[in-house]
Amino acid sequence: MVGMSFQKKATFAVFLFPALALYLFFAVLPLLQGFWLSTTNWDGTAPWTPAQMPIAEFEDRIMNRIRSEADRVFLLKYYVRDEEQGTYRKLELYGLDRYRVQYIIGRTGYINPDFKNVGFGNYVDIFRGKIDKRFFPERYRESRFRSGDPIDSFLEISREEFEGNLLPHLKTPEDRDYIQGIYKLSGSAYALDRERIKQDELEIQIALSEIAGLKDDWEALFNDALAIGAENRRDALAGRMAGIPAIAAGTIAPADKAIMEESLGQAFELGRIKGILSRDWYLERQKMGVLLFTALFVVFNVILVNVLAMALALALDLKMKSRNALRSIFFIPNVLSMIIVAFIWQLVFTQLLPAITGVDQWMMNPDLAPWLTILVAVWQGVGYYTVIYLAGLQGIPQDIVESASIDGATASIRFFRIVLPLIVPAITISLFLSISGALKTFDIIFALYPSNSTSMGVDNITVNIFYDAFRDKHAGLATAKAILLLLTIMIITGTQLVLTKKREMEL
Amino acid sequence: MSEAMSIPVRIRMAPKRIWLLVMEIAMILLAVAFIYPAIYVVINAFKSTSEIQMNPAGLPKAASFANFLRVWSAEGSGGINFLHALVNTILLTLGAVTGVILFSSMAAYILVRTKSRTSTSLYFMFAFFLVIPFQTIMVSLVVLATDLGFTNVFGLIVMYIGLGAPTAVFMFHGFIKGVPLSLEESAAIDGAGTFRIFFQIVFPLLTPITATIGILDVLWVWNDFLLPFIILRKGTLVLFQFNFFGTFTKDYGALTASLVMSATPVVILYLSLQRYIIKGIAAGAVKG
Repeated sequence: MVGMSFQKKATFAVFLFPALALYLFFAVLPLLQGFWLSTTNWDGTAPWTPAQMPIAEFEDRIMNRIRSEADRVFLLKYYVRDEEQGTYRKLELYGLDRYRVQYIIGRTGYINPDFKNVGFGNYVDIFRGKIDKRFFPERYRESRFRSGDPIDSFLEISREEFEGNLLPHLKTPEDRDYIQGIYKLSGSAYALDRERIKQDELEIQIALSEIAGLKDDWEALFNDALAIGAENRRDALAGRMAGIPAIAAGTIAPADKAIMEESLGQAFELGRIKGILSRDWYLERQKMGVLLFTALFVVFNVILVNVLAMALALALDLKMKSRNALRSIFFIPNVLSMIIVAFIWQLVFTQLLPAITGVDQWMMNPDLAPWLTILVAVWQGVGYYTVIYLAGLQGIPQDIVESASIDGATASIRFFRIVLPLIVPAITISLFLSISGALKTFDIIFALYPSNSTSMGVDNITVNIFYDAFRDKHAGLATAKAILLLLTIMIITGTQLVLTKKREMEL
Repeated sequence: MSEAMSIPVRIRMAPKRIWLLVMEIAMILLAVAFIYPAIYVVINAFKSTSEIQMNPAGLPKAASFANFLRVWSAEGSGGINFLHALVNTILLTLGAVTGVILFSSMAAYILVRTKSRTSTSLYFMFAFFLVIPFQTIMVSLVVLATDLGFTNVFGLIVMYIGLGAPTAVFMFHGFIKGVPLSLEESAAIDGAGTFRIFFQIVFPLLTPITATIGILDVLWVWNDFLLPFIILRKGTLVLFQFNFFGTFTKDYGALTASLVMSATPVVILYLSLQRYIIKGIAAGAVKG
């Protein structure tokens, strides 16, 4: 540069300027600002400087601490004294002026609680797990029964559920004996013994309400019997009954008393069953969380896309008449926007598959959802990698393969010993692109599950960052996660490039 | 060649030809199954919503264009209808891709032809951005676009040029390194300035890589979702499509027709240029 003439320097600058300026402004600057934002607690919407402040506080903490007169004048352009409210109110503030106001106020030592430096706090929180629970893998219990559920939901329990999700969770031998005593195996399900549980809730309530001496007490009595049953305190039931005015006064007819005792006994049993079922009948589940789902998505996406693309490329490399047409077909999903691809599959999952398989839930089944996102991503991507592998295969000199086959090499030997080593460059680039592409996947998941990706367990890292930044008001944390994603991508693809390049050298 | 030699050859060829035929049929079936979801959407675009729900897999009783007309005349989210979104997307794509190609080729050219430490480090600065995930700059870009009043199609074009520059500079740089200097030197002797040399001599020589970058960037800008979504919320074809699914949730007739309509431009582009597109993608992947 030093030795160049002025004219050369000027040409250099003019040729470089447009691309470099726009690149610096819309890529490098936002990246640097991203680093900065990742060290703040900014929520993404709160103003960087306070929207208003009591007059005295503003003058004491800010105005009096500004040294330069020009700064003070500048600040007062945007902060107006509002005598009625007793505050300084901030006007609309955009562009460079916003940065200057931020700078001036920052220099006074005033700390805005909505936008303050937290150093590496966001990063530390991520590593310590002190962030949103959905980020990390977690075990949780999916209840099979809630205490409000009607009697039909536990009249029969399938054998699988009973032996898998109920019996092993019972804590005391007493509960075990009780449950095994009232449920009897018949066929493929355990059925409630109706000799012991004769009445459902409604029947008990009707019986109680018809007893003259209980008048207004019966409903509370019934609920108490259920609650006492849930806690399995049989003696408390007797005490509760003794407390009823009609019983205490002895004015109740003996026949009514018998009905009442019978009904409350039934309510007690119901309460006990419901208590046990709501406490101990659950499915132990593993929630993948953002991290594990992202890993699963990347691993399966990369493996499937590369294996299938390689297989398709080998097939399309044969001298078939329709090879070009076939290649075009496999490539089509790749030119469509991911949004369109996701919506095509959404219609397939919600309309076509239920109609031809009879299974209604596809996308809304949390066990299937992760695999469906992988399916759609593979469908979209496989054509692209097929083209790369095909280009690699077509670069192999035909005579090498032919002479090997004349020498008697079998198809698998030809593939693993000759073809595969020769297309390692294509494998290197495909792995690189598919790994970083899979880690950055956003559109497909966001469009397939625009509102319920979290409950279906298909939030990957980019979707999670998006929600943090624009929905859950953690812009600083979101950017910190994004920078960790950047480091992850650099480490994984860097390692992969070094490893496959080494293979390339060895071969 | 003796008779005895040729017989085994013929016997070996025949099963190979049969095998090839079997493979071809299998591949055709596989391709049909593969693309069936798209065919299914196209077929259903001609059915009414109730017909789709009763008979999702079958052919339409009578082809009706009512769904397409409904999508065409739908007001669209934020008052942006289909035509408006289409025009916006064409403007956006043309502006962004022209800008990327023009500015990046100029920058790459001068970086290759200037041998200095500055030029090398500037080149690596461009290349560095290739691995950056969009999420790291997402929040800042929204702040920046709001500050600049760039929340419109023009602003988006400018941002795409900045974001597309690294890949394009990288690819042009690799190509220009292989362009011989001799032509430029003789033009310089004839008194041509750098601008004339670049635009009249060098740029035409770059056509293969320009086509590759053009194709990759057209597909990128045309199909991109997240940047327009956070900056504009509405206005491009992809956003029209996204918002359409949000408002017409259960109107399957309109939904399938909207998919066909917004996919059509890019599918036509693909089918008419597919040889170049596929070649460009393969070349782009290897160079990127």
